[in-house]
Amino acid sequence: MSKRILVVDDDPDIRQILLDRMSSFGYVVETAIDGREALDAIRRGGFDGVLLDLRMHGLDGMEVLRQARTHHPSLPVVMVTALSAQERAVQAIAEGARAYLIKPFDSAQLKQAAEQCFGPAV
Amino acid sequence: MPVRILVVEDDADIATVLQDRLQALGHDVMTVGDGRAALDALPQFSPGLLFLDIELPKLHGMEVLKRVRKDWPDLPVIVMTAHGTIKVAVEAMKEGAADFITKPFDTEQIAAVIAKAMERQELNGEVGRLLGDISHDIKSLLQPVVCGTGLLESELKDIFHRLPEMELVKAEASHKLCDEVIGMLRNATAHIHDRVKEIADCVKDMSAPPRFAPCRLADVVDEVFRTLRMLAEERGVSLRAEGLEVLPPIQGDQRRLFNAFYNLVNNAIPEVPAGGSVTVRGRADPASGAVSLAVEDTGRGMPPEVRESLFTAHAISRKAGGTGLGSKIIKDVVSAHGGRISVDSQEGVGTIFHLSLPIRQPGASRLAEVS
Repeated sequence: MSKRILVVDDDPDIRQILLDRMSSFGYVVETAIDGREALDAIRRGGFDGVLLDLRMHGLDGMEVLRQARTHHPSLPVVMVTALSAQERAVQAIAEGARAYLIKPFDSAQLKQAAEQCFGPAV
Repeated sequence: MPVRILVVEDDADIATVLQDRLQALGHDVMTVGDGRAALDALPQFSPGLLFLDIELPKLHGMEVLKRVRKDWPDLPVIVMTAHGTIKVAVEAMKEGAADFITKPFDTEQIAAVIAKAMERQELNGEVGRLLGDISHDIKSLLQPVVCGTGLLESELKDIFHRLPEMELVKAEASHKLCDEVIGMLRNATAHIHDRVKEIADCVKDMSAPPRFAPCRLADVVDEVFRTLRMLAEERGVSLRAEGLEVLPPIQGDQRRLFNAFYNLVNNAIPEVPAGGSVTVRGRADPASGAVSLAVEDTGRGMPPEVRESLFTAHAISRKAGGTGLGSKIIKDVVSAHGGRISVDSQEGVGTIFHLSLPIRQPGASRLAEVS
């Protein structure tokens, strides 16, 4: 059975790109448009991994990461971040994120990060 | 066609979207986040197109644009501006940006602006190549003028030197030579004039439609041989015509046919080692209403990649300073006459161009043929 991944980003274009690319690799993808929706989805469960935007309006990616780590410590999380926020990305690794992906990323980089942290799609 | 594109954008989300769209369109993309990184990336990445955000950290986009225009004048730059900042876009266009695009953009808009920039680039390249070819031709056409002037000068000097005891017979011979040389100068000058006119036509993208009139290929080839005789003699290559005198006149544009055969023979001569030949052979083919011509050289032949690129604007030239456009001119002339051209070439043996030109043009009137 295909792995289920939650994509969290408040920018609709980036969300769409992540959804399209991850689906094309064979993952089953669900999306959340902000931190609150993300935490609701994670609480419902059933995910094999989360692609999480670091900087979001409202509930920030870092806060989502902390709460996810508290309640689902085995759920792998990959942070998506701008190069200018790399320091915070490193901090996210310290908080338990598996990896971070720097925007702009290309399809191959995304695939590599996903397979490395979530395992192959099927 | 895939293009190497450098994206300069400090907003990571916009950069991600643009890179994704461009890659989806099949392009090869590199993205940098500030102006200085853009200037650093140019030499290694050598892009064919630049997407440039104007509001950039470190070095302002307008400053990047100015430097790119100065150091990479052939690189088209598409400026990205925020919605409602048309003033900035206008300013960028004044600084030489090829186009601008307003954020947020969709895939179609991106594809359209790339296509437009590349089309213009291609056109510029084509004009440049054509100008290169033409200037090269002008140089070789000027050769007889230069040689002739030298001859004329020394001949006249000689005459003046001998003036007191000059014999009648000697004066007559000199006079005849002077006349011949002057005739050659006039002929060559007329051709230079024609070629220069072509430059103007090409740049204005309005080369005139062909004008068909009864045309003897023997005369056309003879004129070509006269123009190129000195070049051929210099290289020890003989120019031969076989079976052209007996060909029926065809309806053709004599000036263009001259250009086609000029290019065929002119391209062949440098390929032929001394002692070899370039032969133009003709045969009437009444059954198909056409004449068949072959331009055959005893040169080194063409490798497959040169042969395959023939007759295109991207033909590979093996002449120093050549543009390879000559073969496209040939193809265009043959096509304008409704004819066909093909090539046989064997490395180390030689090359034969086969041409078939219809005797009659469908549109041309019988009257023109008779007159």
